[in-house]
Amino acid sequence: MAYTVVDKPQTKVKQTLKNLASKDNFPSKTERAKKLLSKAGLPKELKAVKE
Amino acid sequence: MITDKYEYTSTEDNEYFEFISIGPKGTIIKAVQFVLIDPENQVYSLGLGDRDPITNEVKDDITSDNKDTEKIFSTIGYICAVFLDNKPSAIIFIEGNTTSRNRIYRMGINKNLTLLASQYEIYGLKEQNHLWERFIKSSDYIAFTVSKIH
Repeated sequence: MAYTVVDKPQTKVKQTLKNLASKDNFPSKTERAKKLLSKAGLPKELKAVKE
Repeated sequence: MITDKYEYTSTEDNEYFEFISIGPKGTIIKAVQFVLIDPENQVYSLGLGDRDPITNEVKDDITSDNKDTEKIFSTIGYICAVFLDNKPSAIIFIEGNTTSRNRIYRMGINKNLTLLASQYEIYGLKEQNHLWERFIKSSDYIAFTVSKIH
């Protein structure tokens, strides 16, 4: 008897998430955030911790 | 107090999350993504939008009005906590598309400030002078940063 391999919904969900995660889904927002960050920088206190 | 939240699914790296908003407009897939915008300082921009289940296109300029704003923002708060648990040195950069969305982010932080303040550092960016300050309940901001207290 032949069996047909059926893709489980959960596998499909995971693959969809993986595909979506592999790209930036918010390019306009990312650009705005980058511009704002380059203009304002980080809070001084956070910068000090990073350094 | 953190209110009721939605169950979510995420990718293994915990940078992309989804959950289903349920309300009078039906079920809407909400997508949350953390995009690295400053590798040196580990700053990630938070994106929030609705995913079309047919085309898989994510749009962040839609007002879904599914009457569950509080639950959505509780879920996002929880997702941010999961993200920072996995990347403790990361800084989340939050900037709403609109003034009203920034106000909703601010209200969400306000509501849980006592709990958040014990674990996270939260700063708000003032529009007038483009200066950061520690988050104050009564202030308006155009962007926020959230990071773990070290």
